[in-house]
Amino acid sequence: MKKVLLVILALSLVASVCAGFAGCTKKNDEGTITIRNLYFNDWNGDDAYTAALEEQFGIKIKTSTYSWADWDQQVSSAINGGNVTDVFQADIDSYNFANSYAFWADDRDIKPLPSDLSPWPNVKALIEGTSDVDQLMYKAKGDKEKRLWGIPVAKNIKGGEADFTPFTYVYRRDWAKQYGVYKENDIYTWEEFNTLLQTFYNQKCRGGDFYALVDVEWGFPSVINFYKTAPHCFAKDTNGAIISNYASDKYIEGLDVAKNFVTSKIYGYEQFSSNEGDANKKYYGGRVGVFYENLSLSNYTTLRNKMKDANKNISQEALDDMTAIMKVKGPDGKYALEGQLDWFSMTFFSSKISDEKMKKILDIMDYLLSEEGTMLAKYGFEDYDYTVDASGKVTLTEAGWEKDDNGRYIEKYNGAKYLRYMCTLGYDMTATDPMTDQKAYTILNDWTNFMKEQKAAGNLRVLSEDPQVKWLNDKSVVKTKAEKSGKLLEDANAAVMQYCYGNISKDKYRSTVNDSTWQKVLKEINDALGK
Amino acid sequence: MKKITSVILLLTLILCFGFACKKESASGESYFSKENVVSASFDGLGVEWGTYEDINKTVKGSWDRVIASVDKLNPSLVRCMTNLDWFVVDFDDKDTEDLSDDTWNYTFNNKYMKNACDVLDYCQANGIRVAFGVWNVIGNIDPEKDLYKMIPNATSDERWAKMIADLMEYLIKFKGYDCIRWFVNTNEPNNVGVIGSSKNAYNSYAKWEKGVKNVRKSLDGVGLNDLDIIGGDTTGLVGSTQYLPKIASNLKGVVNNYGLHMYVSNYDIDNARYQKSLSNLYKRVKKNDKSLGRTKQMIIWEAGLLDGKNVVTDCNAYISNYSYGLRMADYTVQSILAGVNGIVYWDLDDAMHFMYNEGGNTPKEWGMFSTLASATSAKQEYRPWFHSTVLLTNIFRPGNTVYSATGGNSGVRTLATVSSDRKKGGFVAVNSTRFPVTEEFAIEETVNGSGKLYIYIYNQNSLKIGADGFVVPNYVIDGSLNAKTKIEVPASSIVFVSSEKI
Repeated sequence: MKKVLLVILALSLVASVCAGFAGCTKKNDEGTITIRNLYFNDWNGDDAYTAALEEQFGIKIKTSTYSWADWDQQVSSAINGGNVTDVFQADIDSYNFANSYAFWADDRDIKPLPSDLSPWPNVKALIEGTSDVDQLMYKAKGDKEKRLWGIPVAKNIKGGEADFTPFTYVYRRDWAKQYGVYKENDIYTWEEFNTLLQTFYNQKCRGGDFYALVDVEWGFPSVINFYKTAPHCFAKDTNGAIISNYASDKYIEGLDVAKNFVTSKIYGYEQFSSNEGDANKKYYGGRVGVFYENLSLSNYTTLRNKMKDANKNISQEALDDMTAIMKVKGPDGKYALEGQLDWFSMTFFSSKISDEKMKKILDIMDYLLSEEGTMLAKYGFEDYDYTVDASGKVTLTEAGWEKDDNGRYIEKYNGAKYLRYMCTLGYDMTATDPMTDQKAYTILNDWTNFMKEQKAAGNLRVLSEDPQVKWLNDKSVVKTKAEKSGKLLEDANAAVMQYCYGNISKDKYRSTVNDSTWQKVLKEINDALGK
Repeated sequence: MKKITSVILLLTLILCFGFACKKESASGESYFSKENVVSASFDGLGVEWGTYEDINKTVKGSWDRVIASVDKLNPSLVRCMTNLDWFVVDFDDKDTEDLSDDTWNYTFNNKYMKNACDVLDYCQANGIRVAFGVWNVIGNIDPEKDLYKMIPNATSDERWAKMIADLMEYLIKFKGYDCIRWFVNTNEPNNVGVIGSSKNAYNSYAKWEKGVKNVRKSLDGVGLNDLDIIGGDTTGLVGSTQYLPKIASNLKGVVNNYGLHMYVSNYDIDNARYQKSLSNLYKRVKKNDKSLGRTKQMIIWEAGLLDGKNVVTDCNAYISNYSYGLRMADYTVQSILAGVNGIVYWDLDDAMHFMYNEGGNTPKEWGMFSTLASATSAKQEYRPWFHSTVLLTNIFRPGNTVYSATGGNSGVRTLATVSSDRKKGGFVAVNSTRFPVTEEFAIEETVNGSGKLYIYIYNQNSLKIGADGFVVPNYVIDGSLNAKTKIEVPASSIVFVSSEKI
């Protein structure tokens, strides 16, 4: 009898311990998808369009967001704290690949995509159309084959994006005209660019809070772009061996130009102590002649709107003159722009979600990338927000799309548009989106087409890293690079700033950007590539 | 003679309308029977009239205009929020981890308190019931600059309840503002935001509930037993569905009401999906608390529309359009039909609240007008929805009985109301369709009104504004709310009928 009681007691104990464990494990609610995304700023999902998607897919959607400034940290905290949402977005690039993407996959914090994506043809097409996607395939610890562990967020699911960034100069064409240094079509040779900067300085910037040239905080010193041969850490020498870009002769030549600009007050604005957004504010505040910025459509539209707000009642022509885009040729007679991938950041799935839930999320993503889903995200509900005639022409309805006092369409609070950010930045919708500032779009589009032509004619240098080097992150081959390249980049940029502002000597600069860690990394890369 | 001329003119008008719209106009009958009581004692309608954050930014002398506007609006409910950071001084944590030995003082003699008291003085003098609250817990979002370290525990921090009791004791017992009937235990507790950007980032339902219990105890401790705490003040259907049913189960006797904020898509208003969703929430709460609708009520403390919201500036571009007023009237009817017993519109004046960001302080433009000196003259004028709201707040008075209708055209939503003394009443008909309708309206409950019916039409072409800048009737007829009255409701319009001139 005692034995039976003991067995019962033991079983009860086991049961209670199991129950305890079950209680400790946070149950994943199959009926709700939790999504955290950088672009969900202040959107809580309480709109009719989200409700329609919830109804269509039989699921509830709960959203949260990140702040730009702490995005990386917020992602890490959630991963380390074991409380990531079902779907989340992280900023993945070649510099943090090993310490984030690969690390999370090895630790099974994230769930790989199904190997067969044929049930989701639009998601499949997006992935197949992504540049460098092969480099994102990763064989995690314990796996037999490489798998894709997230969805690269495509800039444009229809493709055709330029392989160069719009990181360039916006300038005061009206000042250039006023001081007689304007060049037709905003095209400037290196000498003419220097003359313009010097003229702006002489005419406008001596004393007082005016500046000839200002770079966005992360972009300083932009003038090096016309000298350097690679965008970030790794360049090639004449033999094809990988060297420190920052220590290369070309880079240092550009660095001396930048330093000279600082000394001569062309770069009169104190770039080293500027807070995020300050440079932008100076430009639309009318205190800057030439401003280096990421002229994405969103940024450029905002800049124009701010400039218009700061200069009430100006004409369209005057606004265009205050926010013209420059086309500057370097000393070699060529334009120079940083290269870009056709995706930005990745969307991941928590390893805690079930296969069924993952399928449901992929169903929603696939729908949002479809023609029908795109129409929902762009216009809203058919026959309420818009109608389509027999020829396929879309007409916005008065009830769905009202205009403000300035005759501009009023933004709708449309969850489908937000949710689509899980897969794409939505550049495919830009041309026909009612919210697009068509004038800004046309100016940028003209600039992009011009640069594409220049590239085809061999007049544009696109600064890109060799993908073979860029995505070389296998820790068994390039351990130091995988672990340290992010820090090398950060320290090198700090050294650039210090050198330009005279805080360190050239020798000190050189030793910083080519020290023993650099040498180790470069050796690893060159060995791996057989150089 | 004048009377005959008026009648002839009116008949001619009706006939003209009839002919002009004969082909499109639908007809129907809306009968507000005694059986169809939606609310036996309505709490009324009102407005967010917050503590002005910087009165120096307003046009000189604008307070008189604010008062004249509120006089006309005649709200029954006001929500007014403030910040503890404005009042708490001399904080000393005694260099210990023990929160119970922390000490602090208050400075109530400052411009923020004066600005709050200006609002409360008016409410006290005019019998307006007020929900007074504090936006967030005290402290700085940046942990390095945060003296109080209250943010991680949110309102569950024991010091919060002490501070609230002190603040409310000062206002109600010392200053005598017994117009304050509810305390708001932070704004939208379910809207947690992002760590580093939001003071609410660490909040949870459990912390909020603990905070409410602590506050209840502290308020009782200073003899403020009659001051209720808003049950929720949550935002959105999702968040309110998370909080309100739990409040109904867990906080019986601690809070005696349910409060939420609803910002709704145009689509959901136009298709009446909003009413259905809200009704489902109401039923869910009632399932846990049968006294809802009897001794406890649900009130919307922030009411507005989602479309047109700019997430960066927290402004709504729709507010200057006539359609905003049309949809907010529709919102009002649908909310009340769903069970809500009072609504506070967000908000009165653009000059009250600001968005603080790197680019400087920008006003949150959601108001019925703006008294900001920096605002354009167009923004300073009354927006159309001020006038439609004036009509709603003046017809649907506190203590009234509210009735729904049987019959009527689809797409036209109606509500009627009769005062408790049966001497006043009126109804509203919102036609959200693109076609005019003609309906016969009648209220069964006896209304011994003025013998006249004042009829107001709200749309871009018909809204009539008097010399004083306020809405005036489009026409007046002899009649009674009890007699069947045929009225045309133009497309995308609201018709208000009142036994009294507003």
